[in-house]
Amino acid sequence: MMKERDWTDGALAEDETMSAASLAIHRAPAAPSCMISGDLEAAIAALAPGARSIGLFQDRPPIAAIRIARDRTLLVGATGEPGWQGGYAISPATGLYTCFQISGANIMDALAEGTGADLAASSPAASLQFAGITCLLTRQGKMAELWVESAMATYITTWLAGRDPMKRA
Amino acid sequence: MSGWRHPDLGTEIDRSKPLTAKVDWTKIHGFHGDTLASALLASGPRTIARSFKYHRPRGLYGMGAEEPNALFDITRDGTTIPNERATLTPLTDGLKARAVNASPTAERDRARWLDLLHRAIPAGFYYKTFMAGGWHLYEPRIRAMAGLGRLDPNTNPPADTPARSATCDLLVIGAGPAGLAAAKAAAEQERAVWLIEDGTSLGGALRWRGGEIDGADWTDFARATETAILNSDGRILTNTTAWGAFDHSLIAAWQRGPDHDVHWRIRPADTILATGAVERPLWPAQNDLPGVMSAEAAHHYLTLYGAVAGRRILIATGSDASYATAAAFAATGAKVTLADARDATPAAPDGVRVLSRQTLRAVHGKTETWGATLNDQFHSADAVLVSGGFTPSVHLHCQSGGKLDWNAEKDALVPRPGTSHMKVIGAANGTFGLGPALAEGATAAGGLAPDTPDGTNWRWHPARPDIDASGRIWIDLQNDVTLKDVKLAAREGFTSVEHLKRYTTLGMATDQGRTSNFPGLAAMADATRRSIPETGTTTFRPPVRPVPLSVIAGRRRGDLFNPLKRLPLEDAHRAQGAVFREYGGWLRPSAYGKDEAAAIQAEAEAARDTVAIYDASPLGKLDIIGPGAPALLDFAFYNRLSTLKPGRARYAFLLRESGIVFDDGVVLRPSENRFIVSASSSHVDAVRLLLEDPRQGRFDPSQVAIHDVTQAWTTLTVTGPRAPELLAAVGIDVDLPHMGVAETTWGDAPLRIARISFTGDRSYELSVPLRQGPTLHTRLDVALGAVDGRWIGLEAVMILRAEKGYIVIGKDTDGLTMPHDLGWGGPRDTREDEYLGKSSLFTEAAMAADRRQLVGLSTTNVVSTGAHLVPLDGPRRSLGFVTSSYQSPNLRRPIALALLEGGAAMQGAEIGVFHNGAVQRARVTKACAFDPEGERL
Repeated sequence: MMKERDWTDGALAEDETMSAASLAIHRAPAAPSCMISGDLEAAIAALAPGARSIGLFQDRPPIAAIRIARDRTLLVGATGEPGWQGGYAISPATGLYTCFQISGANIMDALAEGTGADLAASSPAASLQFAGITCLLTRQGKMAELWVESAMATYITTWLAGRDPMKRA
Repeated sequence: MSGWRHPDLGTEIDRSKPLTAKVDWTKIHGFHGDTLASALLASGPRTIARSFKYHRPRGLYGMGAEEPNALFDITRDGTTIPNERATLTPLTDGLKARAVNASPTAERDRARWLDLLHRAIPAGFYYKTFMAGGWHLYEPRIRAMAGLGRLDPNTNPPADTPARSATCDLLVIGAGPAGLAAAKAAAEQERAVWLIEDGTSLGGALRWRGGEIDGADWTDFARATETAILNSDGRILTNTTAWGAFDHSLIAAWQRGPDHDVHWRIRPADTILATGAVERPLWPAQNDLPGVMSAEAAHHYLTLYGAVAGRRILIATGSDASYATAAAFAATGAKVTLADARDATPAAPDGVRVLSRQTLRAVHGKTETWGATLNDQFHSADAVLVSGGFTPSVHLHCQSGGKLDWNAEKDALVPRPGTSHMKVIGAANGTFGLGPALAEGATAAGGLAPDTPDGTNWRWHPARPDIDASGRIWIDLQNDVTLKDVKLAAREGFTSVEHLKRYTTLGMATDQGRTSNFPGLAAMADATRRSIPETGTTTFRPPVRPVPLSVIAGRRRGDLFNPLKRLPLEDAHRAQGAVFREYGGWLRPSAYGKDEAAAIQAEAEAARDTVAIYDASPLGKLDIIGPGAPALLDFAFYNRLSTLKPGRARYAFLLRESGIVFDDGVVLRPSENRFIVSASSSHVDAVRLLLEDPRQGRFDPSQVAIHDVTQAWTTLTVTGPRAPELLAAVGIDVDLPHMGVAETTWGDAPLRIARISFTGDRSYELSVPLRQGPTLHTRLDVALGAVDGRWIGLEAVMILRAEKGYIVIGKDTDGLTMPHDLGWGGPRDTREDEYLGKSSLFTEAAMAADRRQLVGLSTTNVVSTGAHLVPLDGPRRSLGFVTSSYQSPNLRRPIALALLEGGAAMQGAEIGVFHNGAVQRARVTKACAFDPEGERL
């Protein structure tokens, strides 16, 4: 029986990599980022000209606007002053999300274990439920990027580390 | 029953790999590929089980999930799983099985005398008899006698069943002839087909009945199907049960592997259901005796395992299907008599004596069968195989909303097309026989029907329980429900099938009524002179067969069950000796030190004497940004916030539409168009959603945005009289008025300072971006020693805020508390504009004088939180309850907060605090017990 205080697991440290279930899992250093809402086109043009809007499991360049919802996006690789900027709102959000970069041959098994979302079908927003919590999912080439709210980084570390390589369907 | 092992038959067993298991401490032998049921059948005469209620002797009846008798607690490799069906349990070497409902063994069950009382304990006996005196007095003994499996407290099955999500073009559930034909046709059109089969291999009834398809043995057709599926990027899952159909076409499936299980969540574009049918029994007197078996099941055991049900076999049937069964048994050398209810019968198979116009009236025996009465004549037999037709397996169709229609020609309730998201084919659709099933399957997937010489669509003579028959006749074998019970239910007015089910427990067992629902409703229809469609069916609910909770829960146990949010500075707090507890979904320090109780008191004292720091990072940080923000917040909050000046903060309440307090907190206004809502730690998500409602529905959403950036910041709160001294030591300028806010920099990093207090002492909330959190922690920690301060946990903070009468929502409020109950009637009295919950604050109930209001209590001992407040004189009733209670190290006495009926007008009065049967006196005081003038702020 687990006791209330038996939470001794720890999160993967920034820039650290672990191997689990034939996957390499790397916690990326937090990049400058901000949350923007409202007129997203104007915001991106002002803060990160040319940055693309990234939806579910889409390829992400270093500077990109990861769409969270219809009128809200996480701008990664750029930031701005907090407040209202004539049509859009900015909140600094560096470190709000922790990015787990996952690579390996069985990556789709891991994703299928975490989410019921159909990753082959496109979605303009990168939000999804993964392992029971709301996350963002993008990729860089064949490497998946799971963006987790930082307070849940320990949980996701434990979840990924506990997958058994022998238990692939 | 005289079961025996045929020397040659058995397509599924490997005789080169003998296995031994123990059933009720008796060794049985089998082979690799056997199930526990087939090994038991082949092992000879045996009462293998006892019935649930009367403890009657029972033998093997079926071959799958419909098996009502052969339930065992199975121990394998030290792990015991209760209530497993022998029919679904692979035989493994060293397996130990204990019959449920029996002690010490099924053969020598001590409780078999209960059957002698059967006349005295019909359905409803417990409901009627044990009303007096309290059910809890009888329940333990009755439950012990009722049996079912025993949980082994030492069993701790691993939480390691992974879930897997998948999509496909077509999901075919069931790999019998219809399912195979559908899957092959679809795969040949290059659709990604997933084929799920409950059994160990493809083929369904073809595995024991055989058949010719497209001019070759059926196995060639199965192999071609397999190839087509795999070539079309499909997948085949055997040993997999599709156990539930849910919204949006989701199918949950449990795959059992030799080493591990997988829990599949499949979302197909299309679904075809080919789950076959279950053979109905017949209803002669004593139809529950060991030796009475489903004819189809007996055929299955014979061909697949070489397990022969008996040597003198009587097959009682009205169905074409039983002729192949009779022929198969005759070929083993058994003496076979086939008693057909019909006038016109098919030709007798070689070696089979066929009798027409026969009705099975009774089965004879005691712990095994020795014969049966057909019409009025006794026939010797050691196995009576029965077939009363077939009931389509439509569970998943019905679970997904599908309806059923009575089809008199098919003598079955069959799926109404178009009422669920799946197509139903083959026996599940009432289409029996190889040719018709193959044709229906192929057509459903847009293909051409395979060729087969067997074009017969089985028909049978409709068989029903005879409600006028004499003797004891079982309708539900697993729950021990007899025909007499059904008639009793009808007499007592429980004529709806749903009432029948609950009154008698018919169909409520883990076999899901596969063999009992149809005869139950047929008997009820007869007893109430209604038709079967008028009588209806009960509701089908998942799972279609028992699924272990460890499969459904998957890996969500221990650390992965309800995971907590973790502080970015957790390691630093641990290094300082913090002990942690959960607070509102976050793991936070409760105190620093091994002796938690002493540490809490010392921390609360130090916070008043010098200075203390606590980690307040979980406090909500909802940025409300835009020109529309003031109007949104004015509407959403009870307190007006548009009048808040930039650089200031205000305490405010959020109400529900009902006027009930939902959350409280401080709202900061760093600049004209930007507010920060500091929601309670556990309420951040809920407050955001509550604000989103009016933002999107009442205001122009392009003019105001809500960003939850709580987790992007570390917040450390410095509190106590020497707080300014400490902050000066680390170079933080705190020239701010009470409730003042400043955004500045500290080094190169942004720093937000808010002079707001949850302790009643001068306090400063310092918020820095996550990356600067460790630096701030270290610098404060170094300076802390110089001012004799300390880190404090949440328990000390709770004491400090209770001394001041500051509330915690959900602890010091309940589902009826309105702001004026907490002494915050101002906005209610003065605001004329609309705000959330306003109307509800003026109802008769909201203005009642006897509302429960927040008060303090002065007591001699620490009272229990939750204890009821009662009058000291007169009849005892609850006037409210204690919401918070602590020993105050600063006041040197107990303090408590409470919600008390009419409490505001009872200052100074004495009331009782009732707990564990004793009443303690308490004096009603103001909620604030420390520094009521607020001079320390």
